[in-house]
Formats: sequence, structure tokens, C-alpha cells
Amino acid sequence: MRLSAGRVRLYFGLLLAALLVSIIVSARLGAVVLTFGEIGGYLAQSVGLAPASADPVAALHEGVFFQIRLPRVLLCAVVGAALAVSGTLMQALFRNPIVEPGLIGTSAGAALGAAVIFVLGASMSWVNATFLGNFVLPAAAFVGALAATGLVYRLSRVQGRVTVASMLLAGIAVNALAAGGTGFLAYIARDPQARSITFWNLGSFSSADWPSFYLVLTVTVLGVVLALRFAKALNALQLGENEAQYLGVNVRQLQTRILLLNTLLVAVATSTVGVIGFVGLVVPHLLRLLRLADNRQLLLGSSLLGAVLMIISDTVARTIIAPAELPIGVLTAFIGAPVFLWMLSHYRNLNQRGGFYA
Amino acid sequence: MLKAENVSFRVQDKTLLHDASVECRPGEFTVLMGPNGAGKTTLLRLLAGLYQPSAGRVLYHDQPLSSFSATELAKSRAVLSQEIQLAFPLSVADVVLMGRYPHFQRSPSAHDRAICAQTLAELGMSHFADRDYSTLSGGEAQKVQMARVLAQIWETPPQGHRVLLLDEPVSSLDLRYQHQLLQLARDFSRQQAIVVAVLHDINLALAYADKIVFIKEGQIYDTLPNPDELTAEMLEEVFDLAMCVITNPLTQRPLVIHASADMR
Repeated sequence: MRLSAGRVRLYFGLLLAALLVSIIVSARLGAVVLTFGEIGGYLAQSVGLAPASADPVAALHEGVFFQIRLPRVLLCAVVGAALAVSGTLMQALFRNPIVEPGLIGTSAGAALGAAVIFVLGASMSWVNATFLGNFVLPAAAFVGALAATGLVYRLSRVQGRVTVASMLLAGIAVNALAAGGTGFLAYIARDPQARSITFWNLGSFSSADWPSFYLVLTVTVLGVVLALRFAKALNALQLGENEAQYLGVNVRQLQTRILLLNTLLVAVATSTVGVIGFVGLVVPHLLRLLRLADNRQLLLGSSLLGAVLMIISDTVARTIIAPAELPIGVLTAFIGAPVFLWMLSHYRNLNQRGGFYA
Repeated sequence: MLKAENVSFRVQDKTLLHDASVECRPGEFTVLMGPNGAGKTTLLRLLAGLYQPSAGRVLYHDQPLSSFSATELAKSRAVLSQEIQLAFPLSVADVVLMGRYPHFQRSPSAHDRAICAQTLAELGMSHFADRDYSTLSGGEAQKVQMARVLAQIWETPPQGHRVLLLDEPVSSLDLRYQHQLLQLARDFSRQQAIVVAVLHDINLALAYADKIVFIKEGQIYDTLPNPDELTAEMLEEVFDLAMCVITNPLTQRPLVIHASADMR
């Protein structure tokens, strides 16, 4: 049952290796296929080991690599990490293996907040033009995500306590409300805006650039560091809210902090690349299949595995029907939904006892 | 000393406990008894500091329980609840180790692990250490939780007394382990700890308790500082059954036998 420390180290070594390999392979593939030699050359150049090439084709390829490929792959990695960590936090907080940010309104709220900026932002000329524009969309998504999550949290509070069943019900209602709002905005929007809302609801990494990578990177690193500080309390929460309180955890405070942290992670990721579901659900579950149980390991592991899976998914999405691109949210839904259904039937047999009445 | 002074507990307009006072002393094993829904668990949770009383106050070492932080309390007060289930699979050793969470920051020390091994051994569960908790039977799980709770307050704090609160600790145990666990709880109280348990079996209470508190319909019905003074009339009033107190031929102590209320 228990994992040895050596086995845990092996898993983390493999995950780290998988991350590096997937970054390099993914950066190679696309409309222009780069060779490993070229990539090696760029990396050597960037650290000053090799001279820059004068060949125009090579310069073009170099531009593709540094301006398009690399920021996109790295953005995939940090977004995947943010969503997976968020899913792990949610599952630990609600003591439920089928919770993910999408179920409690966080993603839908972020989408609504971003849709408001898409539609109304056209009248604010500075939004797209200035540096600040990079932060208006995330900020609006954060406000939307926080409002939706806060509403779900408040609605599901019965006699001062949050129950999972009421939270999921409130989540359905708030999700419907936010989706209605987004739909309404798409309806009144002029064509290019409506199209961007639609595309954005399906998720895409095609607008990846360095500033968005740095933004998500900062938030994700901060998020993982903070999340690790809550790991022990989340472990104790496994026993139930009362038991965690008896073990010295301030449960109310923990719930508030985790929800805020989670909202931040999801809002920033969603505002950058749109709505991508199921990553937060599937990644922690895969790690549990490897019998990782400690939340410290789950949080670190999900940041790595989330990054790897997102890179692979995006690589498939942009190569499978090349030169066109499949929206990434469609791909993750095709893979994630069956996994979700399988888990639903599996946990009904196996773990109903602790599942819904936490 | 752990003391409830005239505590009441209301949820919305329903009074679960009204004007209850109890004193639990170090070195003493106090048992709370009463019919279902009488307010035993409510009183236990008030004593644990999980609930804040609507009126009155709970004092721990003459200070209001609410003046202690959750972290402070966790170092000297442990609570065994009924039927604890985990949302995700976890090994027995990991569950017991949770009892040491209040005592370490990042990782458990060898000392913490040694204490956990000791409490598991104390309950005869050492060979279950690597088992998945969710595969245990109800009784086995109960013993593992008891080991966790004991690990939490295994060492006497520099000041004050340890508090062990048990909510129906023997409900899923077989006869032998019912006695073993209550023996353990009583021995624990003899190390100057405050032990309070909710029990349903009056004969187990008589065998192990130093003091029995009867609760009925949200109020303290009676407090028996000496369980030997128990009378059949008192029990009939509390439980609404026909009762008779005889002498246990094995222990020469009082033994209660009962029948349905029609036999009164």
C-alpha cells in the first residue's frame, strides 16, 4: 500500500524527464518542423556558445522558434500546471475525487469576466494597445471567477457549514447563470468579438507570447509555493472537517484561503488561454493511480504532470488537422469526459461512503 | 480541569443542550449517558471546543476554551469521533501519523514515528500498519483511529493536563475489544489525564467510569460521582425502560439488567 521514498523519487524523476522531452519535441513540431540540431543551435546561441547564423531561412526558423514555438510550449506547461494544481486543491478541500474548477463555477465565472472585456473592451481603446491591456483581461477574469466561486460558496453554506452536495448544486446554478451571461454577450457582440468569445470558450494557445507566459508563470509558481504550505492541513482534512479542526487546523480559514488561491490560478490561466476543462480532474486522479496520497507529492506531481499533458494535448491539437488547429478545449473534453464518466461509475461502487457526504 | 458552566447550545431556534454544567477532573474517567438525541455528542463537542456555547462557558484550566487557538488545543486535547471515513485511499500508518500533525512543522521526526508505532502496538494493530485504511472493518478502523488519537496526546505537555474525548468509542467493537479499549481509556486517565466518553452500555459504564453524567432531553438529568450508588429508579427515569440492579457474580460489582418499558 505505502510507497517507498525511492519509488516516489523515481516517479518525480520520470515526470521531470517527461516534461523536458515533451517541451523539446513539442517545440519541434508544427507547420515548420525544426530539427533537433537547429533547436540545439538556438539554445547554444542564446547562452552565447555559438555565433548567430546569417542564412535567411535559418533566421526565419529561429524567429518561429523563439517568438512562436517556445512561448507557446512554455505557456502550455504553466497553464497545465496551474489547472492541475487547482484541481488537486479542490479535490482535497472538498474531499471528493470528482471535483474540478469547472464544477463550482470558477471557470465559467472567469469566462464571463473575460467575455465582458471582449465585448465592451472594444470601446476602451487602451485595453488592447497598452501594456496594461495584458492585465485587464486577467483582472476581469479574476473578478468574474471570484464572484462566481464566492457565490457558490455562499449559497452552499448551510448553517455555517459548506457541504459538498449543496456546493455542487449551487455550482450547477451559477455555471448556468455565467454561461447565460457569456451567451448573451456573444449574442449582442459584433462578429469578430463573438467569434473570439466562441474560440475562447474552447480554449486556444495560438495567441501565446512571452508576456502571457511570464504572467502565468509568476502566478503558478506563487500558487504552488502557497499550496505546498497548506498541504499538511489538506492531508488532515482527509479525516473530515471536525477531525481536522481537532488536529489544530483552522478549517474555515483554510477553506477561504484555498478558494482564493484556486480562483487566482484558474482565473489567470483561463484569461490567457480560454476555458480548458478536465485537466484539473484527470491529473490528480492519474497520480492517485500511482498511489501518491500525500498532498505535498500530489501538488508537486500534478504541476509536473499537468504541464506534460497540456503540452502533449496542444501538440496534438495543432498537428492532427494541420494546417488548421483543433481547439484545445475540444480535445481535452474528448479525452477527459470519458475518464470522468469512468470515475463516476468506479467511485459509485468503491467510494460512495466518503464521497458525497463529506 | 475541564469545566462546562451553565452551557446551552442552540441551532437556529432548536435548543440541543440547555444549562448544562459538568466538571471533568484530571485522573478521572467521566462517562456521558442518555437516550439518542439527548445532547451527549453536543456536550462532548462543546467540551472539545468545536462548538461555541450559545450561553454559558467552557473552561479549560480556568480559562475560556475559546481563548485557545485550534493549534494550541490540538497539542493537549484529542477527540475520537464516530465512523471516520477517508475520501481517498491512505495507509493505516499514515492515518495514525496524522495524530502527530500538531507536533511537527514539515516532516515527522523519528520520535513521532516511534510514538505512532507504540500506539498501534498498544491497540494490537501493528501488523495493519501498511494496510489500506478503506479495506478495514468497522472495528479495525475504530482501533486505528484510537491509535491516532492516543498518538496526538501521547506525551504530557509541560503545563496542564491532557484531555481525551471519546464519542461512542466501542460502538463497532466486539466484546473483548470493548473492554480492552475502555481499560486503555481508564489507564490513560490514571496518568493525570481528563477522559470523557459517551457510552450506551450502562454495564460498561459501571465497570469503568469514575463518574457518570446522565443527559436527557438536552439537560443534565443527574450526575453520579460514585457509580455504585446507581439505582434502578434513576435508570428507569432516564431510559424509560424496566431496570433492575443486581450484583455481577464475576466482579461483585453492580450489574444492570433491563427489559421493555411494559415490564415496569
